[in-house]
Amino acid sequence: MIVAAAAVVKRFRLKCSQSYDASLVNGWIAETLLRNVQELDLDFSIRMEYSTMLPQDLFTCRTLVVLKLKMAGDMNIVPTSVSLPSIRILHLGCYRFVDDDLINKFLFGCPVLEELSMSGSVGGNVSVINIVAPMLTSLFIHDCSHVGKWPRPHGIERKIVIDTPALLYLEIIDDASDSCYLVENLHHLIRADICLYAEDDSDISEALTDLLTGISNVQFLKLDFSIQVTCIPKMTIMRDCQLPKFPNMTCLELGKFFYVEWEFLLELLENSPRLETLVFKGGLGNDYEVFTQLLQNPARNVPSCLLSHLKANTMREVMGSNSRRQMLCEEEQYEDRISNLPDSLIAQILSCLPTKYAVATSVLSTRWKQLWTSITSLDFDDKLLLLPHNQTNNPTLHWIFTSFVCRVLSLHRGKCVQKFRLKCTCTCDVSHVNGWIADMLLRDVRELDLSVHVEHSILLPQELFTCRTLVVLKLDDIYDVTVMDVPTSVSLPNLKILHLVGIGFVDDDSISRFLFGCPVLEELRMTRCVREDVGVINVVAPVLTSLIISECLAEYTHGLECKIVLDTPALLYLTISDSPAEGYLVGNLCHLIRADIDFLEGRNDSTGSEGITNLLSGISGVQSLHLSNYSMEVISSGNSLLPKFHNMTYLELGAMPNDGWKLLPELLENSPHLGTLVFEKVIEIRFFEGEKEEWEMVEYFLCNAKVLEKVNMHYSDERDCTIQITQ
Amino acid sequence: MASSIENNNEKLTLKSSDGEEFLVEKHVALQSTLLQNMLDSDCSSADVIPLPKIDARTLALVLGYCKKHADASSSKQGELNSFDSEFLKDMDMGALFNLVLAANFMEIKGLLDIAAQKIADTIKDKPHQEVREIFHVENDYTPEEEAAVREENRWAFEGFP
Repeated sequence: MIVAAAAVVKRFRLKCSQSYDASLVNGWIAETLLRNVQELDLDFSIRMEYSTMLPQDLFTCRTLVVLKLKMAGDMNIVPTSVSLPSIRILHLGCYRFVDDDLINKFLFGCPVLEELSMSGSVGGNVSVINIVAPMLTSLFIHDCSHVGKWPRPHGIERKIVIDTPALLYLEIIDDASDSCYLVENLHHLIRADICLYAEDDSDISEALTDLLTGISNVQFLKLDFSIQVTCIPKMTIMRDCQLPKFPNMTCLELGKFFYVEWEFLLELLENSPRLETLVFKGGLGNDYEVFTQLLQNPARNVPSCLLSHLKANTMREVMGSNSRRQMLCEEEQYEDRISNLPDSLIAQILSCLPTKYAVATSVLSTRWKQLWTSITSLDFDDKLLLLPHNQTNNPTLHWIFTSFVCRVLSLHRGKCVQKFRLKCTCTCDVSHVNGWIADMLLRDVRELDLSVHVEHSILLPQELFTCRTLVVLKLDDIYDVTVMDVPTSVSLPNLKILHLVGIGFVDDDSISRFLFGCPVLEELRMTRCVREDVGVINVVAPVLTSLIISECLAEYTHGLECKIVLDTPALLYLTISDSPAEGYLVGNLCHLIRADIDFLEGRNDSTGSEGITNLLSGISGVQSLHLSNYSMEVISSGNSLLPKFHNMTYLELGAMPNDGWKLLPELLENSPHLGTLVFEKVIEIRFFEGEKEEWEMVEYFLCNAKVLEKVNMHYSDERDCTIQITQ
Repeated sequence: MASSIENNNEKLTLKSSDGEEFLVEKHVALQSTLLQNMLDSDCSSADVIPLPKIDARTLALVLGYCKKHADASSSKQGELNSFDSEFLKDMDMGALFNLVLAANFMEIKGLLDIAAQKIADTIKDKPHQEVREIFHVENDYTPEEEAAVREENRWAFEGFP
């Protein structure tokens, strides 16, 4: 301001989105007033908590032509007097007006005012708002009698008086409950936009009658009754409205939220003899049939405007005779609605697409240019990036992909991201990946799904381990094992699903610490999660219902030395696809519904019978058990003790090429409630060989299984058929 | 209506935009957050709840979905999933759009999710002109503007079919 030396400042615009010192702001304004400012545009989008914010000189400035004042909170200026002899445009916007008399003061002090826009609720003590302005041509009133903003006893009417003989344009968006409008002298009105609503669905018939009567000379009327999308406006609020004649009206537009009450509409049309254009902004829905029926009703005269003047492009008349005219929407109904599909719904649809495709929709039309930036789910997959040419080996792919993700994140406007998925087959730069994760954490991400391979170890941002919004976390090193450094304190209070694939831990305690920080964890999957120096996988999770452990012991440790300890009392589903380790220590899983045990071959020396006995007794309450071929073999050869499976009703066994089947009689003996037994694949080969023991075995369970209902034997090879033996 | 909240077998009547009435069990209607809120706040003093934006054909589909999901127990997730994919299988775009709008209006999250996903799957691999036709989008770019948008977002159009 000091550098700007001009003696006259024509326009001064100040927009503050932070709180500044009042004396500073006042100083700036006083300075511009001294320089004979003509246009002042002050926008304080943050609430300023001091009252003497504006200099008194502002209200007596002789040069001012345009004054725009916008405050986020209360308009707390209280001028002693107003004298603005040149002002033609005045905008006052705020949440509430504190000075009850402010509008009157301004109107009195602005003799040549042409445009007045007021937005904000006028004080609770005011019962009459007087808008008397001889030269006013445009008037915009928003929410000035809004009930909610100022407490106002119900049943006390607020009167809004509009006496503006020169008015051409009028816009009112207001809460009409307990309000009445006294509108006079509007002989020249060209256009009126009226949107009335009632906070509590009270009857606004009277207010509407008054207002429509006052503006009956209008040429173009836009009418709407609710600004809230979610509420169904009740047409009863205007049931008793007395409609005036609109002798000059040529265009009527019914707004998006005008849910047509047909009787009301017909009366409106009857009272508008010169109507030429009728627009349904929100479409007609399918209700036009009702309208047609009403029109066909012989007791009712067809509104004369439909017969003589109406030539609107949004509706058209078909068929001949005067008494039977049918109204149809010009476009197909759904077509009309799709063009009105709200942006939020389009964003939701785009959120279901890989982000590359969502961004590409920006080319559809100008409206779509920015739509993708509101998507709530970001999904990057470098395989998609360069389709259809599959150029995984392209050395620039990594660079193109990285800049793509960076650019999307910088343009994306959403404050919240539901889901962030990153799948990258090429090696990523750690600092980029971490930057993206940190960005997502700032946007309250709920689901993180990362399949990447970074060189060296991934140093995840520490905030990841204390993220309050995270519900799903999936980390997958697609090629190798990445070591995760778990901080001393983990707090993921909402994490329900955790998948760790190829994520190693530095020590036993890391796993325990991680899981301890996830008190509501329901699903855990650990695949290739252990390094040589981990001795115990200790899964302590009180509400865990689903657990998958695979390849944790098999690949990276000598099974004999490593233990898997499960303390998961709420578990319903358990899958173990791992080495038959010595060290299974399983607490009682009394709610278990299904268990899949699939021991992996490899280290024959480590088939510890004690651990397996322990595992089997831990899952002995299961209802449905699935045992793989090799698991059967391990169990039968390792002298493990079989527990009684009291609840088991379903047993599915894998192919048994070797000695696994020897376990079967004992297994069946220990399963008193078995209802269904399913074999996979291989048995039929043995049938052809007709081995004696095979037949003995079949004989055994057919003779002894008293409640066995069904035996399925699947033949998988060329002859794909099933033998069912029903008892 | 107040008494209905205690009574689980209570039915309510929903009225579509084209005037057809549907008698629905309350636990089915509760799949819709909108109806749930209306019932909770007891603001539906009328016997019939009008749904002014939803036609009878769409409403019938919506209620079919709600009934399946209200009746199925939580352990039958697999069955519900196959019902969901079957439900939308041969639906045309117009019906699908109506369904999305209805699910959004009635606040039925599960239905909104699967319908939005279905639309997304349909447009995923389609050339832009086809997507414009599906959404009835009029291309109001000038050729120069469209070229500029393509250039700005070149990274998104790399290798695009």
